[in-house]
Amino acid sequence: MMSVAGVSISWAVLAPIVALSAGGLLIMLVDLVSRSASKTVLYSIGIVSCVASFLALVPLYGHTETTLAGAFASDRFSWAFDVLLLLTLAITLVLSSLRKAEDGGSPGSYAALLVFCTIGGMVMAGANNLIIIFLGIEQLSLSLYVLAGTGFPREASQEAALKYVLLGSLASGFLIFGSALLYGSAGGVGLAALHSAAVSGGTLFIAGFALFLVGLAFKLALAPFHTWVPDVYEGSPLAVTGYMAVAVKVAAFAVLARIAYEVFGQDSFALVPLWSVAILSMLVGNLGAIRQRNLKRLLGYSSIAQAGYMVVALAGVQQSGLNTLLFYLFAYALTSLGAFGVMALLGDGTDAYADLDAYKGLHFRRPWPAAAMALFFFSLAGIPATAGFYGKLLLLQQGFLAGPWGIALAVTLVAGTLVSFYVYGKVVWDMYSYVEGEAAAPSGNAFAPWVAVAAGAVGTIVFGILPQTFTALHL
Amino acid sequence: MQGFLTTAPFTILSLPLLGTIFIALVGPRVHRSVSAVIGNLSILGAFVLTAMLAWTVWHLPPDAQVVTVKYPPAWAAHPVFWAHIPPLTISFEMRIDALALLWMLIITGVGFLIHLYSVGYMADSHGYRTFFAYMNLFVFMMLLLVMAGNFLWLLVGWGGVGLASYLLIGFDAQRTAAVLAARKALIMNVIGDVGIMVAIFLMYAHFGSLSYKEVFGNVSAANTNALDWIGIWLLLGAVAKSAQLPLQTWLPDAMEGPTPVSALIHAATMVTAGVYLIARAHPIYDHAPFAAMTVAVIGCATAFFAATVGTVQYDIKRVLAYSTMSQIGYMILAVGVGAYAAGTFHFITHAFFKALLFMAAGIVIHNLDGEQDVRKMGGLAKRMPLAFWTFLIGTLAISGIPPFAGFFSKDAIFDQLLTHGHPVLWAFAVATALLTAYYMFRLLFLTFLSGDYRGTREPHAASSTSMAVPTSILAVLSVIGGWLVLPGHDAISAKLEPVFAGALPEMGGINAMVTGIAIAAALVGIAVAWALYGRASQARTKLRTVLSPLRALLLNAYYFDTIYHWLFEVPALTVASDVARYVEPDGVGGFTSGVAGATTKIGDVMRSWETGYLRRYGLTMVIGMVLVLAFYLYLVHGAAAVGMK
Repeated sequence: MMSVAGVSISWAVLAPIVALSAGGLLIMLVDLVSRSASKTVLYSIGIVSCVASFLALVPLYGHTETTLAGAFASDRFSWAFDVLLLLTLAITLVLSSLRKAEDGGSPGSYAALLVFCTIGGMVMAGANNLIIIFLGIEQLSLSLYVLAGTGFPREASQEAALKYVLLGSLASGFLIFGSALLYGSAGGVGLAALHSAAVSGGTLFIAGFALFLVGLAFKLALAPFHTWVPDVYEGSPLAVTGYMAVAVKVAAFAVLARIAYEVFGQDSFALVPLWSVAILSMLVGNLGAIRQRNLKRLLGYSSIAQAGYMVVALAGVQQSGLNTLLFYLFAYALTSLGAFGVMALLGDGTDAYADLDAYKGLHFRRPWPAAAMALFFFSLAGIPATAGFYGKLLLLQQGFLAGPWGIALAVTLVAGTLVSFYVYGKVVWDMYSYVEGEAAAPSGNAFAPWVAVAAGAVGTIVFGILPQTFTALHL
Repeated sequence: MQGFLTTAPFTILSLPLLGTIFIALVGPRVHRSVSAVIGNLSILGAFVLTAMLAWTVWHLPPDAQVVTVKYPPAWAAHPVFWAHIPPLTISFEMRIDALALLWMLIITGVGFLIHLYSVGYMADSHGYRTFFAYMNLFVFMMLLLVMAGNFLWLLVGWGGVGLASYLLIGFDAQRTAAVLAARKALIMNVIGDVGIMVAIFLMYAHFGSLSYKEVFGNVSAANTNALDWIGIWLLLGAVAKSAQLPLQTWLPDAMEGPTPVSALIHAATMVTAGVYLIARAHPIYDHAPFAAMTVAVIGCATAFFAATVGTVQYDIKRVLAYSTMSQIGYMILAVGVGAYAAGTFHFITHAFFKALLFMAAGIVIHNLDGEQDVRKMGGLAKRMPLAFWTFLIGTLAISGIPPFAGFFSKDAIFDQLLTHGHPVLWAFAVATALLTAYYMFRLLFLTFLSGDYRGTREPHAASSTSMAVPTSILAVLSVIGGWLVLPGHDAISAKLEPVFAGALPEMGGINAMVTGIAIAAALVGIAVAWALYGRASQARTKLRTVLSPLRALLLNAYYFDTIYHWLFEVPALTVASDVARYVEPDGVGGFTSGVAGATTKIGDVMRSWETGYLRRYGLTMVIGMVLVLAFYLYLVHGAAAVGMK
């Protein structure tokens, strides 16, 4: 424990972030000093710093502690989210090893940006006041804007980055303006202060929360603030899209959960717009996915729907909701990363297999990747014996116990799931239908993506068949 | 000791499963005989372990003979349950007691013999490896069914054996008849699965648990009406699986499967699962008199019904199928009136002699290149002596001639029907015994005796050792299997007493009159069969003309298939084809698209909103933001604030 300018600092709480930051800086330094450092070395440094950060997290397991005058916390909200963020970063770095020189950008800056992005996510997970929340969100977003453009030799990547940064700035505007109004109503930026303001209510608080919610909904890709998703997902490099689909959701849900539990603590009419956008997201995400012919866009719409599902975990702000949310996030993360892993595996890191036509008759050419993809799609749809099914079962339970809005959410979840069977089923059907003639695209077989695929498949099956192994972790 | 009791059940269960997985993954890469060896060894291993487990359990004190094996174990600090949906917690639970052990011994023991037999029988089949993988899967699921310690795991096994049965009936997927039969069996079985599911829901509603221990422990407190309903829904499952009235029509068709499958699944083990279920759920039926009576009546009716149909059939396997249905009717009847030990005993002897009959018939069919019509057989006794003698033993056993196995178990059922006060059911049961003896000897005469060979195909002479050995072993068991219960020595009831808490009347007492009537009925049946089929007979043709309407009724199995066709199939298909014609393509009456089309249309609209223009995206966000803000201001300040007043 030391103190700087009268504020005591607990380094133990900050250690995971410090470790990761050191890793990021080291990547930049190595890249600067030795121009010839191979990407393997740089990505390995990133993975090692992930492990270091995780080791720093271990002693924090089960502790509740705040530091920086209460601005940053390590508690049950942050721990599991941090682990998931580190896992996502590690898998993304592994997938990124397929990047080639002609993809654009130096591997050093690319890897460092991924690391810094994750730091932003971890800051969000532990943020206990509005300023830290905003800092975290901006660190995450700014890194991602650039990452979306790291495939710049392709125009689509440039377009993705530009759209993302412009719309993201709009959302940040809402967020910061909302935060300012919240500060005005509460007289402080801490979530504890906001809690008292929420109890007394008032126009200023309500208006501030509305704008804040809109900003957050953009990050979560909840409809109608989802419009950036399809274009950005399609244009960004494959590994970045996978990272985006998982890490941003994890970090933003950490903030949303903390707000729901710490600021409100119980069901409130102020959360009604959240339920409404969740319902809209489930519909928009699933219906919008129907006509997509590009797998990245399809998974983008899928992620919109999945974000809507995850809000159901918070319905009624019940105590059990946090565990449900964590289970669903883990299930979603493993499944999504697995699906992107298959895409990277087949396309050898390129977008060759983003086109759904390439999947026709895949089973007869590449049975194992086809089986893995089918498994991930079943999990996204929520077919029994996969993690996605059990997650949805938990969500329905939350929804049906949470009053009229909860029931509306649960019913929409069921309806959306029905539509999604069509969406995912069609791809699986294509993969297993025999087609004559040559494959639409040649498929790769590098080792690295198998790591992501195997991790996703094992997690999806184990959490699907023995979901209690997850609860036994007591996250 | 305790260690063995907890590890052995897991090992027994995993051996056949590992066999399946091994054959599926490694089988295609190695010589086909490896699959057969693995398939056989895994079942043999399970049998040996089961025997050791039974020996161990039966040497425990009587009050410790019901062993519950649970995962997670009670001492686990962080128990990992299979499903934990508060307040319901379901662990992987097994219940090892005499009832389960007897079933396990038959499943693995007879299962092994039939696996061995399959090595020869299936030798020419293209799907040799697949066959053993499916058979091992079946044994695994069947073991899961009888070893389960709660109703949910029972249902998993229950559905699993249905799947295995489906795969094996349709094993020869090139033939349409086999595929249709497989489908029929699956559909009828699923009706039963739903019955058990409903029973499970009711149990959860009334007892808050699905574990045998907790459900059975609380039955005395529940009301009779609820128990009757649970009993009836469970019975629906039993009826479907055991091919009892009115869900019996799938079993004769299931004979499309290879003969070892008929022997193992559709004679010895799976179809008796209904008997097991009712015996297992005996505390419920003990407190549900109406449900129990329904069980008994259905069993009795099926026994008689199937025996009458069996008298006129010409397909050797179909006759055996109807006899299976009829014999299981006996078992269901027995457990329905509370004679659980007698029902279990008949299950054991039936497994021996019916598997034997199928195997002997299988040798005939194998040597005749797949011929199953007895009109094209005859005089085969000299050409296939092994098949003849073993079939004769099986026939004597099923007809209830002492000292063969079937005599003792049937006698126990007849005796207990009278002691429990059911003279009418007894009368039908005896009439069934007469019919059984008649049609089985008719089959024997038509196949092996009565003149010369009538077929055109030249029969092969030899049968392989792998078929001859298990058939001979079962022949021996069909002779001595009944001696488990002799006057003054009742091994079955003694073993089962801890399960049924001592509520079992002693079997094996000889009641001269009851036994005498049963034997007399069997002898009359044999005599009639001999008179009509044993020698050239004019009476046969004469009788056929006189009884021709009845004969038509029986040949068509009381027209059940036809009735079901018009009652269910035709309406369902009509509705389905109408939907396909009118609803699917264009939507109902003038709508431009059906449900699928409408959804795609919405998808199109959504897609057209994605113009790719930033201004459109930004506008969408701003509209959303305005709506959210308006909602709040409306709530806080009333409608006036947003200009709606």
